[in-house]
Amino acid sequence: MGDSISSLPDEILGKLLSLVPTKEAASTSVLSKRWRNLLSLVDRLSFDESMVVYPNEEEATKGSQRFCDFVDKTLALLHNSPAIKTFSLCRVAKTMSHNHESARLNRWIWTAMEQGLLELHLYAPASRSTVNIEPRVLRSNTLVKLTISGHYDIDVDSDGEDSDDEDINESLDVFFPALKSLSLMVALDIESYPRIIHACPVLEELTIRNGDFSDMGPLWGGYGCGTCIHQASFRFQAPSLVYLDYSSLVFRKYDVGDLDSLVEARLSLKLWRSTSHYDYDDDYYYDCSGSLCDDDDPSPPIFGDVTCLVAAIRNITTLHLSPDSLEVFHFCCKSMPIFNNLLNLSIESNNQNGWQVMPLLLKSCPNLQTLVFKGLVHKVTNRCGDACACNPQNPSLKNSKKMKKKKKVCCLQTCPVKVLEISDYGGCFQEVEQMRHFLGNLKCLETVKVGVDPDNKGKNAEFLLANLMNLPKLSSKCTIQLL
Amino acid sequence: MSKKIIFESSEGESFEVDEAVALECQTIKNMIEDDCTDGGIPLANVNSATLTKVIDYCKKHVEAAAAAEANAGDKDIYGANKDIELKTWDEEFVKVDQPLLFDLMLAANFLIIPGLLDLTCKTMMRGKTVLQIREIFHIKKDYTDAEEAEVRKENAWAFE
Repeated sequence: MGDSISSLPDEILGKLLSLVPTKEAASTSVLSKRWRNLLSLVDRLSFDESMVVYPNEEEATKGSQRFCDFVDKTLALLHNSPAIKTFSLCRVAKTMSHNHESARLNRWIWTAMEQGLLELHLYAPASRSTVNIEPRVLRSNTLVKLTISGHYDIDVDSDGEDSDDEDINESLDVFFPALKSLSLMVALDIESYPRIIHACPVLEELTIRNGDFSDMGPLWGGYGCGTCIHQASFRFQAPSLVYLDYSSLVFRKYDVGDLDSLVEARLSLKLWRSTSHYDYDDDYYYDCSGSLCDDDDPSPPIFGDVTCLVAAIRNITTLHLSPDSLEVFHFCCKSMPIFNNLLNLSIESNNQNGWQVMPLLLKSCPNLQTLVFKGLVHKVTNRCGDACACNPQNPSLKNSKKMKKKKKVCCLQTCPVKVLEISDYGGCFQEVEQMRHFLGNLKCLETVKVGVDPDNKGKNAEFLLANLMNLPKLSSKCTIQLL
Repeated sequence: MSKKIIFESSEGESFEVDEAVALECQTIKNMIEDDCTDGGIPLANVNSATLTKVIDYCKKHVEAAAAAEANAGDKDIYGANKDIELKTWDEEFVKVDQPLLFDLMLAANFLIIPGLLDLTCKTMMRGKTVLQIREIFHIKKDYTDAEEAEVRKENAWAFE
């Protein structure tokens, strides 16, 4: 075979180079003269500074300068090229001065946006200080997808004015009339979210992650300290939203407009402190005045109120909950709406978090078809209710007392679930008892799918399955299969 | 009974496919819309081996799209698995020798099958260093040493 690749038409070569990181695409210029000026044909730019690792700080500083020159040159080369559809930037920028870096980044975003970009992705995995993105560069009539992740801040309300829309000079504010997908994985000021989301009138997918900031301690300080957290109310309106992925510590209050188009939500809500003090205390309850009912308990009240957020998503068909979210639903949600359209509920469990809210949640999903558990092991508390087989403290006495008092049927017996799917099944005693409880109480069950914990795979999957087969089943048409 | 379209490879061999499968190719779609597909479509620059693979690809993707449609609504949670299955199939599909991969890419470009063009282009470039690209595709260096040094200097970071 001769050098057939070099004789390919420009459009295919441009395509080939668009599919690799821009660093690699540019390095092909050394192949031959035919390859020298092909970079101007790409429709995707992807600059990832983390691809090169330097041995010491001095080298890193020089390398960082070369990286910036490379981005500058490439953007200049593509100036006025209508071809660029996607721009991704992963900037390490450990050694740059803050103002200099912000100015540079804003210039890059501005230049890229001018090309009629469809997608913009910005990552800053590690940095000495936060880089400010100016709202005036966050404007585009064409942009469909935007990701901002890491050590960025968006200075939406620099004047500190009241955040009503009329107050600001419109040409300087964020504006994305075509944006469908927005991911904000940054620690923004709480007042920035409603402003940015409001600037995206046709938004369909929204991802907000401001929960996991273990490596971002100082940045998050604004909410962690004293007064701010007690005033913070998380607000947004997104009437055309279809998918919501929200991960955060709980705020004092939520003010979320109706999300009537929402189909799927993935929630990972975290409490500010461990709830271990509350497990065996029947008398506490969240109280508006913030005082506990039980005077003997020195624990402060559980902070946060997600009632409005939960009410806003009540029309969804698919809901995914993290282990922490279950506890947040229990402790921070004053009333549970009825999820009439909810067909699929997927729940992640771990041994740190309890299932206290499960009975109420299952009763609030009258049309549930599929129930998925990623792990069955959860923290045993005396508030699990009848969704699980936990035996805390003095079970026989406690349960019988409860049953007599409230005369209620087990929540599982009214649950219409047809498909039960368990992944990460380990087959320990608690899990087997839980399965016995499910199979013995879910009367509409048709299919049970069990995926064995990868650590156990091959060793005893068949044994675990055989074990499950022997459990008594309330539903006669129920079959059990391995995933 | 769905309508059939007949392709003719460069060797003159005939391939009969469902219209739905042929519609995966934008070029053919245009021809069908213009109603000029009677008596078969001669593809003078696509050989039989390549055409067989191209038809396989289109068939699989038509089936996958139909299956996804049928399962839409009540299968949201498993949607992701279906995607993974098709991706795995795609990966297996392009495990072919370099010349055939090359022909597939050209065919995808000519017939306008965006998915296949993306897939073949990605496979072609994936994980290859400039040195490997030069070797695999027999690209001769036509720079002098001074010119090459100049090229490297131009985008220094790209060569780190």
